[in-house]
Amino acid sequence: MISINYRDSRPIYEQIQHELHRMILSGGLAAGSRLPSVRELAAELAINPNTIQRAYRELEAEGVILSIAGKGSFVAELPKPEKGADAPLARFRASVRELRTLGFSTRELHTFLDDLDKEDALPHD
Amino acid sequence: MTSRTSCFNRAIFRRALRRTAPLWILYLVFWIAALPVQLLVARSGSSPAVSAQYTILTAAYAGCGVVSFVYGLATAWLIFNWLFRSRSAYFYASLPVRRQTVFTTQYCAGLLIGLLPNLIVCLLTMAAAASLGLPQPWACLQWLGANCLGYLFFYSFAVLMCMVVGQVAAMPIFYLVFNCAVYVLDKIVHALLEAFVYGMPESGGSVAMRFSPLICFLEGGVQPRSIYVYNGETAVYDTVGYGFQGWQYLLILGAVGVLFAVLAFFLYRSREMELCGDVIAVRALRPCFLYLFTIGCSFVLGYFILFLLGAQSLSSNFPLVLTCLLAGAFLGYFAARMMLQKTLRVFSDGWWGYFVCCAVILIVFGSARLDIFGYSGRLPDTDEIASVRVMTYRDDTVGSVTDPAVIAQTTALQKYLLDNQPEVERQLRHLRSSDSYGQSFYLEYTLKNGKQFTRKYTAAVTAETQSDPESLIGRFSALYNAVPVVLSRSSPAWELSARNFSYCSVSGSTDADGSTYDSVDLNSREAYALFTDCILPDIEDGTLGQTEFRTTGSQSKSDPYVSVSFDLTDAFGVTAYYSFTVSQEASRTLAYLDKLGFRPFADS
Amino acid sequence: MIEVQNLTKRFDDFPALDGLSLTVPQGSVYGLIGPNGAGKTTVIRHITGIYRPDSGNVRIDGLPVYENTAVKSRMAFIPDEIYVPGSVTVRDMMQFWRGVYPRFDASRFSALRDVFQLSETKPFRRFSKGMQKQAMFWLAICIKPDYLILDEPIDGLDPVMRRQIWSILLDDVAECGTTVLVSSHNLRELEDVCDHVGVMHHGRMLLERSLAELQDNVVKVQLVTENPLPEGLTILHSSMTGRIQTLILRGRQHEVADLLAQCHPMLCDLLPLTLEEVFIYELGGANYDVKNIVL
Repeated sequence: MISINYRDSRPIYEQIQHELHRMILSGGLAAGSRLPSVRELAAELAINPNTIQRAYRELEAEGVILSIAGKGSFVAELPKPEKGADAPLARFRASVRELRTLGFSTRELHTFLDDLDKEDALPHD
Repeated sequence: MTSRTSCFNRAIFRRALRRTAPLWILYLVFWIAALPVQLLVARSGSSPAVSAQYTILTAAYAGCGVVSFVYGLATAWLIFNWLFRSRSAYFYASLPVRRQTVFTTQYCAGLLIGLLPNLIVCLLTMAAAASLGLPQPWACLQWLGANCLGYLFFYSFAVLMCMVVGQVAAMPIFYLVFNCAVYVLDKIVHALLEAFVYGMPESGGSVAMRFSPLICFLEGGVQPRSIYVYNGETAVYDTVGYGFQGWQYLLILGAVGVLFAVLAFFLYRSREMELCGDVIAVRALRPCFLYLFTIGCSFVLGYFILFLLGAQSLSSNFPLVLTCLLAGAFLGYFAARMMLQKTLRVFSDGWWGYFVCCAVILIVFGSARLDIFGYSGRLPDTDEIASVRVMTYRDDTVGSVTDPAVIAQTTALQKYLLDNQPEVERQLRHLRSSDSYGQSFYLEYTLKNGKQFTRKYTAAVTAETQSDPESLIGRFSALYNAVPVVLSRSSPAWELSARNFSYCSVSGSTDADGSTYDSVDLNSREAYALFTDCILPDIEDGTLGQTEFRTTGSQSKSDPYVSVSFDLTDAFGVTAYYSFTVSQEASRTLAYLDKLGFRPFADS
Repeated sequence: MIEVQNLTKRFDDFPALDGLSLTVPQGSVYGLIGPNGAGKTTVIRHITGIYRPDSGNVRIDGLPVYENTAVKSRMAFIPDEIYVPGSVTVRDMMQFWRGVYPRFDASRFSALRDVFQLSETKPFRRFSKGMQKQAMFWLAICIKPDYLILDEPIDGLDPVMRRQIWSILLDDVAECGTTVLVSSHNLRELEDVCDHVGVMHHGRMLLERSLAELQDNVVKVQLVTENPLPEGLTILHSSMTGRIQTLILRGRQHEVADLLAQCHPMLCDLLPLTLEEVFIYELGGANYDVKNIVL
């Protein structure tokens, strides 16, 4: 299910964390579905279980998964980005228009968003 | 497993048995072919029961000696082979089994494969003998006992060697060497001392032999012996069976074997695994090995070098002998260091140890040469002597002489020897012609306080000295031919009767030409008559038993002669052997022999 | 927990171990790293009860190891040089191990047969080295050990088999809390499976950390700034290419990022480090020729 890229110099727990996050965001792992246990994943990937444990902890801290003692880890319900987003989105629309009059092209805005993603360490689409 | 102190592990036991399977199968097959099959196949004519006994007991002799020597070595070497390589030793050391358990399990496996086949062969032999109608349970049990004791000793000793010696090829060598070492070294040291110390006899070797079991077995320290019973009718001793002698020695060996096993146990427990593969695997024993090896090589190699150089008369070559000893020590010391340090570069340091050994050798042999302890110069007072024995190498059983005249004569001879030491030695060095030789003789003194000491001297027999009564050989000859001395070597000290004469034979020329030769056996009554009525009186007259020491040229080989020999067996079954060459003056003896047809001195 | 305290061992004149201490926490996978001759195998032989220390002690769960069958029966050891007894088969070895290790599980042996796919009746001597190691793993796993000691074990096995074996071992670690001590040169692999490492050199322990601590505490930064660097940075290494400074700093990523933001960099990229690089920079300060040490 998950593959580790050994040429990637990021720590392994980070890779696992991002892979799982990506699968969850892209819908490959449905909300409420059970993740493989630490033990299963450790055996499958031949990776130290503590490493797996750490990735799960990070995901839990981000709120992406939930761990229930005795039952396992499950994909959390992602918050629907509906309510409470009107004001920030309106401000965003105004900011974009302002930047356009200053001479920023759409492409440059896209680049800016990508850079921001990188800064915040979110997966690219 | 934690609370129980176990001394046995089945898996290790089974593995040891399987590993040695070819060996004990071979051993079993060998003995089955050598004993029960042998009994069934070979039938001897006259006395099958006795010859069956003989077969079994001879097998016991071979078994407890050479066969056990080899089998014990092979078993121990195979079972404990894992100790010689670090891979296998580390494997065993990492197992969750205590060292004592590993040792006792494997030791017992080795014992089992020695003792159980013996038991099986013993039972099969008993069955075979019984099936032939000649049941020999006692002989079979003796075979079993001897073999098991011999095996116990040799196997335990080999196990001990496995604990001490860590190198796979060195272990059998050490085993062999230690089994012969004491005897060989004793002989060599005595031979060397004999050369320097005036009067020193060679070692009889019998005590040293006990400490070299292999040699002891080969030299008959343990063996079957005939059991004779006196047949009153025929006045002859019949061999009615065979016994086995040397049980005391065997039992001691068995006990020593147990001791070796215990020692091996403790050595193994404290042994460091990182020394596997080293020649000496016990650190504390390394210095012992170094110095023992050096001293041993000094004697053995030194003696060997002397032998190669053809040094005939050692006594005049003290510096040469010392040089050879020191050279031998040199070779031994640095060879031992090479073995211990596993490198050829041992010459840069450590010389002080060699010099210590040299100093020891110099002190020992120097003090022998200089007679520091007064050994050579010892002259007993006639008053303090209780008895003497005077003998040459030819004499078998010699009794003590208490006659005061003889004692005085002996001390006079001793004084002459001490006063004339340089001349005596000079004469020996200058034996020119090929028919001169040195005649060795022994003087043994038993003092009134119970102490005993022996001296050996060699007198030159040359054309000049053989007829000179003042020469050493002349003086000795006078003593040697004194009637009490002749009697001491002609008959035993205990009281004789006809039944003691277990064997007697007369052989020699039947006529004066010396051309015909005959041999006659006498029965015990006849032997007794000949001995007491003719031989002993003739000796007392001085006409029989007189020995002349002449150069080889003056002895004529084609002279007619008759000799009579007697085997005298005492109540305990110990036999003494006496033999007489009949001289022309022995009138009574010649008269008796004439009746038998022997006339060597008859006028034609 | 495996505890080695101040272990000293001399072989004749050669000091193989010189006051070495290490601790393997319960349930961890501990990687023992060091160049040839550092003493890794010597330490391992002390832990498995083969050698007796000159001074210091070796304890497992607080009990000394030497001649302690209770402790040793829960420990499996696969050495770098396998002992190949003459003409025994895998089945014979299984019977032997069963008789010697009380916890040997014969049913597990049968269950793993398909994984290892080795002939049980062929003489062990005729296996290739790799297959011999595989067989040793097979047997060791069946003991269900609480402690598994591996001395350069994976060399000689093909990647598929390596992965399978580690898979099984890590399953045991996860489920039963098996503690594993591995000595190896292969950092790449150790990075996957270890959670603790110890670096040895000349019979001493240079560095002993949990892997997380190691990796989290060293940060590589590529920086372009016209301002001087802020105070409070622990710089392990720095180099310059044109206007780009490459700094190796001690500290956690976000702490370092916050610190660096003070100098308003034009470019500030935080890059991850491989385990090898971590070692090189951690040990570089101690003046050792680190490349030799680690590889």
